[in-house]
Amino acid sequence: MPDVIASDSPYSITERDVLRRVAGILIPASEEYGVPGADDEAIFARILGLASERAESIRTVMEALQTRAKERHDANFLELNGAQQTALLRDGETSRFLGQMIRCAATAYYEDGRVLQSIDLKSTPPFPGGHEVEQGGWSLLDPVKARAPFYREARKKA
Amino acid sequence: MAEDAVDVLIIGAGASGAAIAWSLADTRMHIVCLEQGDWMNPSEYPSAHMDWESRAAGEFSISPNRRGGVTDYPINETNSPIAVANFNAVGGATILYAGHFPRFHPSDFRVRTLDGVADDWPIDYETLAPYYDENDRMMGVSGLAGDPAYPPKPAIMPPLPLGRAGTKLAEGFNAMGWHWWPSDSAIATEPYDGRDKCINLGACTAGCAQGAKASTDITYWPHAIRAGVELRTRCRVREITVRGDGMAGGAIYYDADGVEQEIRAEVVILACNGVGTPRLLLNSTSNLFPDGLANSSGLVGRNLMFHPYSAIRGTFDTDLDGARGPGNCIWSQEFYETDASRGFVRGFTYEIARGGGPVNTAVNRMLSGKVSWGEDHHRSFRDVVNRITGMVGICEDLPEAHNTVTLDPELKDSHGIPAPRIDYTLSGNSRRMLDYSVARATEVLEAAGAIDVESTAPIPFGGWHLMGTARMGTDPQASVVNEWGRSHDVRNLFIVDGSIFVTSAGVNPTRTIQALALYVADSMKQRLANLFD
Repeated sequence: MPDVIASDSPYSITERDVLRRVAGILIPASEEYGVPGADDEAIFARILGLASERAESIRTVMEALQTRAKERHDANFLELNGAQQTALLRDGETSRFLGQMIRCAATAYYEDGRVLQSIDLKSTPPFPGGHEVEQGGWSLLDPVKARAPFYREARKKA
Repeated sequence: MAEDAVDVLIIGAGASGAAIAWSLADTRMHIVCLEQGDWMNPSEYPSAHMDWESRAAGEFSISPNRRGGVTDYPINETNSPIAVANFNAVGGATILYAGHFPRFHPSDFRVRTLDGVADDWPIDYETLAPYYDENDRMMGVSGLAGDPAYPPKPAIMPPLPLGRAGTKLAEGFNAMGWHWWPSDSAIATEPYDGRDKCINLGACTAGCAQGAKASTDITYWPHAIRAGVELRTRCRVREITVRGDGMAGGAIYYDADGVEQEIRAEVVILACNGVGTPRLLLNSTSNLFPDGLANSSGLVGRNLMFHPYSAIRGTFDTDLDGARGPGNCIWSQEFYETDASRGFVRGFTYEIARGGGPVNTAVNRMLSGKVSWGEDHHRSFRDVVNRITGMVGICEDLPEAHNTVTLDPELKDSHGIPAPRIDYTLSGNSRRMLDYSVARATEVLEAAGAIDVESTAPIPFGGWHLMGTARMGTDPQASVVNEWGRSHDVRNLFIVDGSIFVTSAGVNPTRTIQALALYVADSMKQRLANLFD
């Protein structure tokens, strides 16, 4: 269950539905890669948490999105079909909203253990397990070792 | 009401305050250090949490203005293309530094003599060499002996792993025929002095939860406290007091409860960094010192030097290290010493920045349009995640009197103490050096097989190194402290942080800041009987 309950949220139910729909458009689920979308319940809960920290600015730019939807289609954003919604998000007039949502959606999405595993990263915090890193081939250093010193000697005058 | 006088008051518990506290402890003097920050709790460091990248960009941000924590002070930096980075805690900025640990070169102390610019230092590499060695033992340095860019120096622990990223870039440098070497790093690659070895967490610049990185809260301070030094946290100093005879009398500070306190001291040592120290001196006005303490030269706050940084990143078609492993890896000093044919004087170091985390990669590249959003997102993201590596160029910044730290007429911290204001302009020499560093790094990355190269110069948030604002020298009219860190004007006042640098060199300063602190401590101990003469 998401840990953000309705009464905690600065967003109305409709606004939350818009945020979730946009998250799903930005990063959709993929069967090919076996990953959820950013509108996944747990991931969206985190998105909502991040978006709540900047609610004032997000609500302002969300209004621009709704205004654009009305102007173009005489409809609410949620009433549009997927292609219309995507086209609106690509509209330069809504770029500030898009930027805010990319920050929240991508942050929450790539903190999710299921997603991290799918890109060959750990599904746990870095500490305490750490990571394996190859030592690498130190013989690469041989030509540099063969080089004469090239720093400048510069003692203070006695 | 003031408490009984202590022998030595140190202000600031970061890189240099910790070093001089430890070194002076064997005098058995009563030493008190005041630190405005707290002790850190490693379990709270970002790398112990799933949202480590968010935490690193928020409460562990390098920007005090972004953090805005109770232990931070604001900085007006609107008139600077480079923003200040710092951290207020026991350990200071070593909590968040990468642990890159280069020494200065011999030529760095003689820039006027060799290259006809800026000024020579009143000391040379040979003077500091034994203190570099001592500091290396205290901090624990990994690296490899034999670097042809340096005079011989000891290696204490084996170098950090090359990994896939280091290997790729080493191949690039070799293809160009250019110097590279394993970075000297203040990161333990073996158990060292009670610290665990590095396990490649990959979030070094947000605090090391493993304790492998040598922040001074876990290196110098345990030894200093065991030797009798008293460290008081959450104590923010407002001003240095002055006695009737013109000597420093101690300090007035606010304790953790916000209550004003006074402490008297026979000796006062400032270790507050290249912004905090001039701020404190300029805030310490009196009838005897109306322009700020130790400022008869008018140079307190002048000659601020950052290191302008370039960042050059390449995307490859194979998986590299990503965020796995410390950022530190290898460096190149092919372009360190002056070559007039390059169009600038002095030089720079390349330091390889191994890779980035998935959140940063996704956010930055989706915002720039280099990673798609929508149906193609997953393929597009997999083309870059864990496949980016590159380097930064650390350019020597020459001192210019118009680059300043002053007191902001309006901005104040939470205790009402006037905050610092930065006025800084990038010089033409720095601009040309940055451009050159981007061009040569692009060649390395392309030689290594990068399919896309991008750059930023200067890094706008990269004011990690704060230097020059209370420079050392033998002439009281042209410097703030003498050749062993004592104020020319106030003979029981010492400065040991990056403020006293005469020039900046083209390397990270912490190892030199600490070597200078140990050198100043030794100079004091040798003169205890006539310290104020």
